[in-house]
Amino acid sequence: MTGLARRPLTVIAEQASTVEAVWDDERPIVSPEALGELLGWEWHAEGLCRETVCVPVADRSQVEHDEGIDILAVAKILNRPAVIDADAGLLVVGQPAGDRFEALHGRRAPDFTLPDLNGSPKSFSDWAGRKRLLVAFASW
Amino acid sequence: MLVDADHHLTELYAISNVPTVIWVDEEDRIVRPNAAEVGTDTFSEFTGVHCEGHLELVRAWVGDGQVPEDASHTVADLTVDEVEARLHFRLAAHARRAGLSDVADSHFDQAAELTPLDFTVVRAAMPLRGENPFGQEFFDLYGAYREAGSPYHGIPRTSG
Repeated sequence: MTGLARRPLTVIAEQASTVEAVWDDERPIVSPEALGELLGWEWHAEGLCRETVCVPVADRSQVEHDEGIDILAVAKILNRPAVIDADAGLLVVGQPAGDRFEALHGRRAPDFTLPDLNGSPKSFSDWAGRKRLLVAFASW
Repeated sequence: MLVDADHHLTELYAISNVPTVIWVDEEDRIVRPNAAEVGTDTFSEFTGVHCEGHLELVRAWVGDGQVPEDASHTVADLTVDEVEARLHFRLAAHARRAGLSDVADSHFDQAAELTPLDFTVVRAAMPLRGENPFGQEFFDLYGAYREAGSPYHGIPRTSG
């Protein structure tokens, strides 16, 4: 098919992962298996699923492409913002807007996982059940 | 201490400057949202912000469960531009680590154009771009920020 090219795509979401993608101009298409690795969601008959949760997708043609799955379409359905640099093969997928809304309006502290100074992953929920001060500061 | 090189928290909690402190209780409830508080008086002369007032508030919360009135403040959500700026910043930071300096510069620029007064975007990029975060670039940013009314996603500061 014309207009298609196969080259790497690095997706920067909760972590950064690189997969081989088919590029339909500036839209990267990934395999269904890669989708789970990149965003943690799988493409099923019910729609987009993760563990016990499924998001129905009425119009499957939004997501399905002859070469696989349109990951930008998936991000949009999941209400996750995205910025792409097609030339560099880099795609950033942000946090679901609903998580931030819950924090700001629902007053629920969303969990997160980050490395400590030794590189070991730690979650905010590791300190659950006690009062916490979440202090964001910079090292400059 | 955790390292947030990709600034996930600035997006998740709508953080636009540091230090920002958020109080969270045993039930994961945000008791007092984003506030510009400091742990020491190192920069008090410059910022006018002192640590003792906040430390007293924290002691009252932990000891007696008292919560200050300002804790009811609702933090404004990020705008579409502010979210997009954070993603450009994240992309730039990744590109920089990968040695793609031209890509990094382009996305640092796009992030700054979207949110020219956001310290987690503009000032955070300074050391990553070889600029001095305490140099003239910082004072230019700080001046523009003050002139614009010190925009901040969090409890407005009424005193030191």
